[in-house]
Amino acid sequence: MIDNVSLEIPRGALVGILGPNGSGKTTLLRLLAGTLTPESGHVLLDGEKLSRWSRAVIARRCAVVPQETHLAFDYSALEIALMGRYPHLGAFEVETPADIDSALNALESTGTRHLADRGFQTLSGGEKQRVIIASALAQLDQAPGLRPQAPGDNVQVRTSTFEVIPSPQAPSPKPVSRLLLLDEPTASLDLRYQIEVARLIRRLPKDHGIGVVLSTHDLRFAGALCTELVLLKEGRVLARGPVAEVLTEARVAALYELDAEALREMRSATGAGV
Amino acid sequence: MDVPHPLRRASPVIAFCFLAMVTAVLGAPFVGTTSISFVKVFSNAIASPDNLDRQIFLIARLPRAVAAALVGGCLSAAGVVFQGLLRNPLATPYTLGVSAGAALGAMVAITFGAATPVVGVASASLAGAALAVGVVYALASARRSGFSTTVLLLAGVTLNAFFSALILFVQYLSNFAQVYRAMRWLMGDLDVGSYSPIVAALPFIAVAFVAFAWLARPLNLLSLGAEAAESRGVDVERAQRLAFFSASLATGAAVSIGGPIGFIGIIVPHLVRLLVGADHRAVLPASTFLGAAFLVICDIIARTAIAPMELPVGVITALIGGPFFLWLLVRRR
Amino acid sequence: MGFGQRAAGGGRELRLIVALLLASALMVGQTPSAARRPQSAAIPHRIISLIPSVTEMLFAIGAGDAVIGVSTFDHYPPSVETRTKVGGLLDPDFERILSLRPDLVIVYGTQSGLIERLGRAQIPMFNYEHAGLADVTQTLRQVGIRVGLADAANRLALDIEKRLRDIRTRIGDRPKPRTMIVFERETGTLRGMFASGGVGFLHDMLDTAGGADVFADVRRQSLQVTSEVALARAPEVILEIRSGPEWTPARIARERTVWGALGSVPAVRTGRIYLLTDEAMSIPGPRVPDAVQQMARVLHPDVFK
Repeated sequence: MIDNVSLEIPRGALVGILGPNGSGKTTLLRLLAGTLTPESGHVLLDGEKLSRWSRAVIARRCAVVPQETHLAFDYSALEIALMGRYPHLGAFEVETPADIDSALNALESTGTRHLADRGFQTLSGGEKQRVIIASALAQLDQAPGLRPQAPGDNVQVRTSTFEVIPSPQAPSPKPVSRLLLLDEPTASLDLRYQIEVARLIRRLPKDHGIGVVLSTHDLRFAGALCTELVLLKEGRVLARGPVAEVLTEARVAALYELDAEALREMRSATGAGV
Repeated sequence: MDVPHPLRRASPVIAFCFLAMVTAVLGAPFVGTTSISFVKVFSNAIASPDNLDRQIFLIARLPRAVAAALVGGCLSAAGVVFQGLLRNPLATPYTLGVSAGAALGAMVAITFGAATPVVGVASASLAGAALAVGVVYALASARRSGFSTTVLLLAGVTLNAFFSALILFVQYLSNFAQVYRAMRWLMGDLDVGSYSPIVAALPFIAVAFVAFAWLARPLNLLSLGAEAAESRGVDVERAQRLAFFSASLATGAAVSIGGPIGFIGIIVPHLVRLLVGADHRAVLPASTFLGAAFLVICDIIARTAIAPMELPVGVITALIGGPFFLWLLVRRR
Repeated sequence: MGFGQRAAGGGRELRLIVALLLASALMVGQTPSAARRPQSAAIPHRIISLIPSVTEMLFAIGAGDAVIGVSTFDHYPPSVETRTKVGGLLDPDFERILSLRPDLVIVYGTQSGLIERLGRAQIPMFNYEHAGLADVTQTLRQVGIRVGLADAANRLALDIEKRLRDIRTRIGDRPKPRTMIVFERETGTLRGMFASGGVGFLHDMLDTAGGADVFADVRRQSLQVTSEVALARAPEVILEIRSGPEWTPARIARERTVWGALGSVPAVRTGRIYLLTDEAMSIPGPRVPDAVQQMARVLHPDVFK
């Protein structure tokens, strides 16, 4: 249950939703993804209400990575990445080579290209999360067949079924925001995989031009990774803004209801300050 | 580097299964305890009513082979869809109460049918199946939070138990011959003798398979979990309801033709997944074709093993399916 | 712990087991079975019969007044409707039987539960076993002895035997048509069809009535018949044993047409399909000569008008 939440997610930001368990983080994520409709108020994406869009349109712009994925049957990593292309295809359409490229590129960006033919159940925890993130990236890929451009990279354009020719004269298209939502992305992983996945997540806004929102209860993770933070307590926003401003001792104490004793312990555990 | 679509690898297997089905259906009518000759069946020299070979071929065996293929295909495909819906490879077409309802309908028709000769056993079993499906669906949809597969499963299991008790009660009221007939119906019987039960079931089967074709991709995504599928744009509730109804329809149609034949809905999908992977767009057609071929072969065994007596085909599928299943379980560890 | 280890240390155990086996064997030997039970010398006056054929026998030899209870399936002779119904083969009502205070109960040999209870209640019993045609007269004689009407029973038995012989004689050496006896199938279709095999009461009746059983080679009392088997055996006559009030002429005519699906069967082509609805067909009792005569009439119409 969350109440009276109003927040903005700037483009290209890496926003963390921080709060204790039960504070409503998952609910907030679901609202952003459009899988939950608010009882009052609305969710806007690019200035448009989510509720006005069809499921497929929303899915092309918002992808969710859950904390854990349990498969009923054993699919390969490539098949799972390809599933991200679902909202881009019609009811009986089969994935085109462009879609396959998109999935492979996504796997490559998450460092799992070499696992394409491996069964998902055989992967490690970290590999599984990265494959699911790849699936989400494939889902958000509006122009399949092109490698994502990072500034400074040599741009390689792979032509498959279509080409995109950048032209200075062409009017710039209406900006399409894409959002990746991750629910406690490292909560069930070993430390080694936590670091692996965290590194990957940090690169996403820059490399792919997508906004990232993740929920977590891990202070250090939030502080290290995010550019913006939203502190959520019992369904209400306690504070929001850039990390440095929000993540103060006082705020954390209020969020987690820590007394002076606990604060002292926390200080010594995490070093001076937060 | 061009990577081929993962489904490409499955195509030869699907083609093989299709070939197996066609061969089985065309070949089965020539196999049996009474040997008939290919030449005589198609020769026009002997007048049709006198041509015993042709009569056996056309009246006794060909409809039987077609029925076996249809029932085998339906039960296998329904098994695949139920497993996708319940996200559990151990689900069968009978998990959710359809067959208990069909069995109850058939029992009632056999025991009390003398009073109302109009209602045949097949239509009574369809009515029973529809009743069971209706009750289970109503229970699963009655929640404010929408359609729940957990409630579906619980309702189905409960209904199975309840209807089984009712079946025992009806059998208690029957006389000897009725009890025996009822038991034989429960073991499966593909001796249709004519095309009417097949033709009657065909519209339901057609509708079910159209739904299956549409469901193939959503079922893939449902494997990731309902939330994950929802966030990828799948209308999860619609897919679940459609899966439940179409698979129940196919199962009900199959049971009305040949009785509740077991093990096909679980052996064939498992086998197929070992061969083509988990993509439902390959698993569904391959299971349908392989299931059809499999049941035709089981039926051949059933009618030739202890001639002139016939073994119920359900016994054959159980004798093959049981050990296969045990092997699967052992292998998984 | 395997058998080897057990045997090595188990000399005492082995002796214990042998002792137990001996003891149980002795106990079994001690239990009086119904057959060896000392028969009461007196003539029974309160008889309960769970078997319709034996009920008919009792009435036919003059013991009808002594019959106070019958099975739910008893309908002949009409006076049985005034007797108390006590259940049947599968569901005998033990308490009701007891409440009637019988001095003889006719039971099926397979009703072990009932037999055990009646034994404990010290009620005399007569065991009936369902078998072939020849056993009808044998049972009749045994029943007669048991109820003290041995002469009447013997006379009736001789009469039955004579009438059956007469039927055989009248048929003589005539060719016996290949016949299939169906006693159960689904209404309106040919599915779930059960026919008489080469053993048992129906088969014997057919043989006496001058028919050749198409399933004479099947050493069973009944078998399920598929359309293929029916086509292959190609009977010349099909007899369907059906009984009950629902078998109106209209319904009989309707059910006969169902056989049209098997066009090559000689019986279908010549129309020699007969639904025999007399209850006597399925009761191995005093009316068997009537039943056999009905069969013989349809099999050899030239002999029996």
